[in-house]
Amino acid sequence: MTSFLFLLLAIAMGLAWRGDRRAGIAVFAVAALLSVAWFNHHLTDPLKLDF
Amino acid sequence: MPRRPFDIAELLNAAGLAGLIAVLVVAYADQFSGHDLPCPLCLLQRVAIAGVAFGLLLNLRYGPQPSAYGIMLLSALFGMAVAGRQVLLHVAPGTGSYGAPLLGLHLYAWSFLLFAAVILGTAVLLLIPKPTSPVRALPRQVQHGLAWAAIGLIALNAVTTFLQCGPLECPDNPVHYWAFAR
Repeated sequence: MTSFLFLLLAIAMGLAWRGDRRAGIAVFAVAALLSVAWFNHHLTDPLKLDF
Repeated sequence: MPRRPFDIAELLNAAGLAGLIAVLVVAYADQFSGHDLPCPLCLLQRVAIAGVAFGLLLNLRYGPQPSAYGIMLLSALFGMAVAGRQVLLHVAPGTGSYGAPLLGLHLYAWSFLLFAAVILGTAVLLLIPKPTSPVRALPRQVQHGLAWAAIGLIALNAVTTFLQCGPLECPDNPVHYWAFAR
């Protein structure tokens, strides 16, 4: 899954650099949403904090 | 006839992109020379770096725009959240750490500081007014070199992350590459 995020970001950057700014930003937006979802998926370990 | 000055905002955006390329190279050096495989949160911090690089690339290609700075800020905030989470996992005594320290700090602590610096740097970039007199653009070779180096490194991260994690998710403490485990 994380490799897919990198792939999406590389595609977004390639599209934007080749002149398609809107498509680049659209692909980036998809990658950003998936990244947040993937981060949420990894928020499983309890923090061992004691105040 | 005096030479026109460079656009300071363009120069700083290019320097920022070069800096992030260097950070990704250092991360790779640590991964391959120290056999220090990145954990899922470490990889998400690299994803956030790629997001910041995307904003810098937009500014380099189309000129500085608020939307690109917004992308940089959102990516840096995401990266800070991920790095901060990892710092909190290991901040209490007896909770161990992940990976080898570099210059006294673990990579996730450096990463947290990096994203704080990105937010600070973006704020400074937003303060720079648009040039009122004609400015000189960076040479095309420099722009292309930086852009394709960043795109290539992030595409390479897609490949090496797939080799390490496979199509699903990485273990919390990876010790070998998924692709070479059988």
